[in-house]
Amino acid sequence: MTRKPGANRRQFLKASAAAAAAPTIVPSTVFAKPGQPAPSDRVVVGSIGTGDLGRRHHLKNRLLPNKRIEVAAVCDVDRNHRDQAALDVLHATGRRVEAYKDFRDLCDRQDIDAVLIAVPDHWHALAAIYAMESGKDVYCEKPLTLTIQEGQKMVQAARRYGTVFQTGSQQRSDRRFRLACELVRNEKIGKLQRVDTHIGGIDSGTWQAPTTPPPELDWNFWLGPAPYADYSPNRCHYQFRWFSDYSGGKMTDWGAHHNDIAQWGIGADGSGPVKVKGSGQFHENGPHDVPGEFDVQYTYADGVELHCHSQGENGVKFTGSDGWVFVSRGRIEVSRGGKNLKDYDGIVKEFSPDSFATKLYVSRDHHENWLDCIQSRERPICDVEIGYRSVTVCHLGNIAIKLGRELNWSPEKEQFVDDDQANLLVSKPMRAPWHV
Amino acid sequence: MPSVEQLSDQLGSSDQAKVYQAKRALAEQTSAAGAPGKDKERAELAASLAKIVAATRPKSGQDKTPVAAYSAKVRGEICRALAAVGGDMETPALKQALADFESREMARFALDRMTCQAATDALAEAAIQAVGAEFRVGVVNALGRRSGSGVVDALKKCAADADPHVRLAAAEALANHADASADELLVAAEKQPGDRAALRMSKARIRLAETLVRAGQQEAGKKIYQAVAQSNAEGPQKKAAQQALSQLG
Repeated sequence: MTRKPGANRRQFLKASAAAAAAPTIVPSTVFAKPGQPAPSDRVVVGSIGTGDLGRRHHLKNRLLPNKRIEVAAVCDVDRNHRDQAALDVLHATGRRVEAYKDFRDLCDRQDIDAVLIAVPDHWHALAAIYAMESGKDVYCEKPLTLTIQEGQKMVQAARRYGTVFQTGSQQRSDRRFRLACELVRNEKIGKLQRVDTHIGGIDSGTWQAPTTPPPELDWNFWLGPAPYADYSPNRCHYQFRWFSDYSGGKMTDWGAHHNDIAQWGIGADGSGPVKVKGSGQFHENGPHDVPGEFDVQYTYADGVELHCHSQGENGVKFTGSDGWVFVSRGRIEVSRGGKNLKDYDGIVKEFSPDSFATKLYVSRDHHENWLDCIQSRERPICDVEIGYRSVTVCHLGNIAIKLGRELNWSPEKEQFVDDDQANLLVSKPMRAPWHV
Repeated sequence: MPSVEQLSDQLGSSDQAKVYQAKRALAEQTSAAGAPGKDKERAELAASLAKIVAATRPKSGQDKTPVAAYSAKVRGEICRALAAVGGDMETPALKQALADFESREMARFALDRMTCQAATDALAEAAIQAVGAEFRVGVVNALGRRSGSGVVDALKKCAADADPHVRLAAAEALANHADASADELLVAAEKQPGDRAALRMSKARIRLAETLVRAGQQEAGKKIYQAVAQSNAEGPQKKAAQQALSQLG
């Protein structure tokens, strides 16, 4: 049986199984063993970006232990990263998998259904769009993009190819954050007036003299679309977050979590603020060139204000006319009518969210939700447009800090109003051959 | 406030912190001058920056051949600043920098961001006439993101270029423009060997069809979708074409 053009591996396997079922004997390998999904239901995944987050968190903790997933390939521009990841797969499964340097080679493989992308931010859009055009479903780490325009292109590609796309803003799959947003959306703290997100600042870093890249790293490929820069270790793995050519600093790194929750609570998925002004402090001597400390104020069309701060306890605080709710990883607290509730179960008992008129999308595990949606072809909890709109809030903040003036934003037109210079910052030129 | 000349000198420093400070000062100046209603300040700053990009000095005491007065690194940073405030008046300096192998990439970055017609013209000319496939591909990609007169003509010329990388990049860029006649060029480029040509062109044809439909040329877009759906294109492109056709009805 040959695969029809357009059929992916799982569709092919299902068709094979159906054909084999006809004469009564079915290969046992096609159907599930007790407690395990059938091979035809397993999602064959390629892991793109196997550095710290991609390998430690996703590959080792979420992909390899998951019986619904078969990891078929790994990819990284750092040879040590990709070989180590391939070794992890070998140890976990006994299978040798291909380790690629170029994500395009991995995406060109027809036996791979989906990819998990955990590369540096300046690569997210390029890798994700290529994967979508190759027919893969995508889980892409946050912050989803380096620029606003990249997000627009990602949404277009996802809709064009019918991609199941999960953005890695995984707090949406945490019951505390969902409960907090449901309380807000159901006006249990009264009419929402203000949201405060506290996402932390970043130090100045230390200068290192430019040096020759290590032999295992293809530095030019790592830079990819970004302007050429001499290599130094502290602008590469992990630390890239604090350099504006590759990332948006804390504003996007943590903003893609907490501002995402703010958007959820406000009910602004698919939209965004209409005004933004910000102040930020850049380090005097570098090398980190993203804002070290900042305060950004957003206004939504209904008058709700979002204040994003580098200072304060990490988390999100929603303030309404009758009370407030604070939520962070591992903690939720509600205050209403002089009464403070500090434990999840107590809050559930007090408010009975099952009876709420507005119920939010329920996902108990971000990766499982992605896999469920790959099967059902429904949109995951943090679909590409949600991820795009949330990271746009962060980009708007960085642009307002950079320009030092209040900006008007049109969420419908996805551009600034009456500010040509601000609109130049919606995208960034790329080095050849890369483009979105 | 330090002058652009002072900051340019500082950008040439071997002290990385001093270079960083100069970049920050330039960023602050361009942000302030680029605010709405600050046309005079913007024009003055842009002119000062363009002057640095174009500045020359004699090569040596004996050799009077003019060479760039500032290092490529300094000019690169100045180009970056110019991108935020430059316009028609500054394009000649950047166009000149496009001819300089050391600074042309950052000059292209600057022109890429600038929205004026003069920048479009400079890019269109460089796409056709510049030397070096990699550089030209970058210029072609920049043109793909722009509208304005001359863009499609320049891209069509590049799509018939002798260099296969330029041809493919131009064909891909044409997919962003609502010109149905570009489909012929995409089909021709599909047959080119190597560089994932067939795959890239089938993706580009899907985008071209979408661009046409968005521009109101529904029948032209449908025709391309139908052609892709019936072609030997890869599965995802056929599926995308079929999905689009079913949505268009």
